[in-house]
Amino acid sequence: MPSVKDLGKRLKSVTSTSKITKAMKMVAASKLKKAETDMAKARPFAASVQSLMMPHIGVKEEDETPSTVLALAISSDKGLCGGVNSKMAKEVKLGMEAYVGKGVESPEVLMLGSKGRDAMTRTHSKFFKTTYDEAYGGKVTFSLASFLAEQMLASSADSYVIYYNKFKSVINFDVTALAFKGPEVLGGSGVMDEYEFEGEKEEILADLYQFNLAVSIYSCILENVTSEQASRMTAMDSASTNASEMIEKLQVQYNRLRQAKITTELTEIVAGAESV
Amino acid sequence: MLSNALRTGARPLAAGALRSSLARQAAPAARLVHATRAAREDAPKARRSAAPSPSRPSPPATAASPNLGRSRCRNLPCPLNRHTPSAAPPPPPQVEMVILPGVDGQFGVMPNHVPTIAELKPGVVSVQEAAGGPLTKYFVSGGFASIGEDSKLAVSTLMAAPLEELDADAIKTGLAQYQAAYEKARRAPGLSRGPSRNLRGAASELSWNLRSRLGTSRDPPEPLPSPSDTRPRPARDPPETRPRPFPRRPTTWSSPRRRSASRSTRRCRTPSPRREQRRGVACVRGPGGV
Repeated sequence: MPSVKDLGKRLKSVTSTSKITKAMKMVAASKLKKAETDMAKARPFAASVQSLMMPHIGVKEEDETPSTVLALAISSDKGLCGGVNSKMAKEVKLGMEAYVGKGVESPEVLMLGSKGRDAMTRTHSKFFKTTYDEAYGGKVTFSLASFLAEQMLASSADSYVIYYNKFKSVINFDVTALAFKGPEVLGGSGVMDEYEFEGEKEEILADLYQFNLAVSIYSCILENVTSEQASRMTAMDSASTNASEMIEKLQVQYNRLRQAKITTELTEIVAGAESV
Repeated sequence: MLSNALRTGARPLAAGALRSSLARQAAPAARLVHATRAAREDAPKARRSAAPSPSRPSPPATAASPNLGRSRCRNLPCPLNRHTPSAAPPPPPQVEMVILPGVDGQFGVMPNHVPTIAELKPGVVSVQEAAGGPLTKYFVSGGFASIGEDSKLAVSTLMAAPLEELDADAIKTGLAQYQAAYEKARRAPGLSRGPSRNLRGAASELSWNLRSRLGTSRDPPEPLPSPSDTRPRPARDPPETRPRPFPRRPTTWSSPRRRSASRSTRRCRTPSPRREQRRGVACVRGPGGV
């Protein structure tokens, strides 16, 4: 049976924890709003370029297995965000193992965010090509996205995949893989024949491929950030709720203990007085 | 509608070779830009859909960003959205003609244009809503334009702003700032060519915008005179003969400090006696949703 003092200390610490989680929840809620606006703005941007390119470089079910795969997995740097990072790590692990099972030799992963890296590093670190920390220093910029696209394209692969948490609603987000075929596909005959090109077709298509990749990475990062904030908000919300319940229970226990102690003291005094 | 201010750090991608330059938008440019960051942020402009042919309805033109006032040199691309706090109305869905700054020169698009994909360099897009009417001009930071079969024109750029909202003074200040930063970057030891090329390109874009805004010339800009640099340039980076906004060669980056490439163990950054003991072991955290 803990003493009154210990219970009192515990009560204090749980109260301050609940204050922290409530504050974090409010901060996450406001950041979520902002992130949602950014994401909504970027969606038509991404759609305009992807609608042009995806019919040609999107990976469909019936396509054959690529020979090399390079994946970019997006996670966060900060914790206390619920399950987004662990889900991401799980999906990436499963995905990479599936590729290995299909015969892809050494699929590689670029990991953005330290939480994802930490989750995968003990068991699946052989897949890592590069990991990026503290990339979310400021706001998510297109510069970051194009830097990552350049890193991805630095090593040629048959297929490029982006793993991110797709934001469907505040409580519904899931890990999605966005896969592209390599740029060689665009060299095939009959690709984009219905369009005229101002300038050389190969050049423009190469540029457009890179642009498409960067734009896709940009929108995926924004979606991931939004999902992360939403997840953090719900996680902190449930943490605050749990903390409040615990405070109630502890308070009752504390009061009972305190009153019992007082009663004991009184009884002793009375007994002592009577014996005199 | 269109975000105000000009984005110099972010440039549209692409260069000839496959591996080439997304460099422009990459870290050093971003870092540089952080130094001169304006308060506001925008996101990449997505698309201005104009259906020139009156018989075909088009989706409502997209308009941009949190455009709240005078332009400044700002860093982030502005995405397109349909809410226009800015004064300028979004371009109407059906227009007569649009003049676009392609990399090979300006070209015009009218209704029933053959389906085309074109790469744009940073420049001015002019929209003529009615035949013979006035031209509405926007500065775009490069990107791609595609004309579909139903005469729908989609312009995908990172940044777009109506010319009226661009502030010549802010542009001049920004140009000076970028040139100063460029000087600094060139002199900084250990930087590879990549960042400085970014800066050069960024400064060149700024100067182009400046000139076009002030109406001096519509011609492609010549690259800014680089500060006197007598170091021999490596052979694989010839001087650009055509003022393309993006270099063609892959750039090699010295990894920016804030992005650490690490493999399986995390480096403990601050040495301390206790950490030294634990160095090889405890820097690896367990898995799970921390």
